[in-house]
Amino acid sequence: MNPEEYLDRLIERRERGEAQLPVINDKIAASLAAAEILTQLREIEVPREFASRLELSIRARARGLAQQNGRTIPLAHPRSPASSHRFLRRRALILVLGTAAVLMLVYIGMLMAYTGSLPGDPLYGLKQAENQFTRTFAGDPEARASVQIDQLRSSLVDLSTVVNDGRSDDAIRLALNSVAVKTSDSRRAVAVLPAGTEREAAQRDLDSALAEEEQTLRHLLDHVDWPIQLAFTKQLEALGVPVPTVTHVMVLTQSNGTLLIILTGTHFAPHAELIIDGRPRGMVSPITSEQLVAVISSSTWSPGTHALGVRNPDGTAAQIIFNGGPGSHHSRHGPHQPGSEDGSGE
Amino acid sequence: MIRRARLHDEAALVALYQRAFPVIYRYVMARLGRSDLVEDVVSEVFLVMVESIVNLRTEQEAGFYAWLLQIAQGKISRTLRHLTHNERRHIPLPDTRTTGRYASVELMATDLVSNPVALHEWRETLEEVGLALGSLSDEQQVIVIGRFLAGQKIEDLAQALGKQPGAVRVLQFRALRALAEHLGLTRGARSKGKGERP
Repeated sequence: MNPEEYLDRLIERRERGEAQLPVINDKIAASLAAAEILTQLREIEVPREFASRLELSIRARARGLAQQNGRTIPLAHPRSPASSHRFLRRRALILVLGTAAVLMLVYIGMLMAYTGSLPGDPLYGLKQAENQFTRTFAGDPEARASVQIDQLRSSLVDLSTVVNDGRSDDAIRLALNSVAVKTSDSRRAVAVLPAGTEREAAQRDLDSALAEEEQTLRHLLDHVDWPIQLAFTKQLEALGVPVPTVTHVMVLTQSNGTLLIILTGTHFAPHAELIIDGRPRGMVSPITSEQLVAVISSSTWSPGTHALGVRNPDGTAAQIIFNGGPGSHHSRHGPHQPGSEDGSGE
Repeated sequence: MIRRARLHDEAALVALYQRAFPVIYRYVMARLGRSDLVEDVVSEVFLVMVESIVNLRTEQEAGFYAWLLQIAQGKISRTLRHLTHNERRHIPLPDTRTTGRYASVELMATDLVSNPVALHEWRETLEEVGLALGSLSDEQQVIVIGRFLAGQKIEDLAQALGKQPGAVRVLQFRALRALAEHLGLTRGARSKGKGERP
C-alpha cells in the first residue's frame, strides 16, 4: 500500500473511531495531526443571527428570480386599432406573429439547453441569436423598445454573474460589450417612438434600466481588475456619469534622484491612486480634482512606454500612454476618451 | 435538490444554503479571521450561489461544495488583496497595530470561552491554519475542506473534480504534508489541537 492510501486509511479509521493502525513514520504522523487540526475547524461556532439574516436575503432573492423567470417574454401593450387600414395590417401582423410564436415555441424548446449560457460560453452565440429573433418579431415599435429594455436588464444580470463567477477578463469584456450595445439599442428604440404617453412610459422604463446599469457597474467596479475597471469607466461615461479623465502627463527628475509624476485631467477624487502599468505606485500628495502629483523611486521606472493612470476610490479609472523619459511630457490631443485603456490620445 | 434549486425553488435553495453555510462560514473564518470581513464574503458567496446555480453542472453534493468553495476562494483572494492594499496605504494607529486579525475572532468553540489561555492558543492555531490553508493550491484546499469540514468521501470528491480517487488521495497527502510543515508539526508530529491541551 502506498503512503497516500495508507494515510487515507488511517484518517478513515480515525473518523470511524476504529482501532488505529501503526503510524509508519513521522511524516505520516505529522499529516495525521494536520488532518486532526482541520477537523477541529468544525468547532468554530456559526453565528445564528447572521445565518438567519442571510437566509432571509436568500429567500427574497430566490422569490425575485422565480418571478423574473415567469416573465421572460415581454408582452406588447394592448391597444385599440386607429383605422381600418391599420386594422388589416394588424391582422396580417397577428398572423405572422402567430406563426412566429409557434416557431418561437419550437425554437425556445430547442434553445432550453443554452438559455443559461453566459458570455464566453460556446452556446452564448445562440442565446444572442434568440435575442435577435425576439427583437425582430416584437411587432410595433413600442413592443420593440420594451424588448430592448428587457434584454438590457438581462445583459446586466449576465454581467453580474460573469464577474461574480470569477470568469476571465475576455468573458467580462464580452458581457460588458453586450451591455453597451443593448444600452445604445434601447436608447435608439425609445427615441424613435412618437411623442405621447407610450413614449413617456418607455422612457421611464429606460431611465430605470439605465439607473440599474449605473448601480450594477459601480458595484462591480470593486470586483474587477484594472483593465476591466477602465472598460467599466468608459461605459459609465456613456451613461453620462462624471468619470476621471487624464489629458496630460509630465515626468520630472528631482534633485534627490526620485521622479515626480504630474497627471492633469478631470474628476480626480481625494485619495485617488497613481497606477503605472496596471499597478498602484508612488506616494501620492494631496490632489485637486484636476491634478495628481506623485513621487516614485527612479529604480522602479525603466525607459520606454508606460501606461499611467488614475484610480478613484470608487474604482472609476482613466489612463494615458506615456512613451518619453524623465523631463518629458505627453498630452492627449483631440476629443479625449476617458477610461480609454489603449491611450487613444497618443 | 440541486435540480430544483436551479429553477430557483425557494425551499431547495434554502435547504442547500442551510447545509453549506457552516462549511463555508468556517472555511472563510479560517482564511480571514475577522468576523466583519467573513460576513461580507459569506453573504456574497451565497448570493452568487442563488444567482448562478442555474449554471452548476453537477447533481452531487461534493460537486456543489467544490463549486461553492471555488466561489469563496475568489472572494477571499479579492478581500485579501484589498486588505493588503489598504494596510499598505493606511498605517494603523499604535494601539491597533499590536492586535492581529484573528484577535477579533470571538466565535470560537463555546467550551473555550471560560478558558482564556486555551482560547488564546486556539486563536493562534486558527491564524496559523488560515495562513497554511492559503499556501495550498485552490484544488488542494477544495479537497481538504471538502474532506475534513464538509465530510465528503474521496470517491465523491474525485467525481466532483473529474479525477481518479488515487489522484485525489495524492493531492490530499501532499496538502496535509504541506499543512503539517507550515504548522511546524513535522518534527515529532507534535499536535497543536485543542483536544491535546491540558
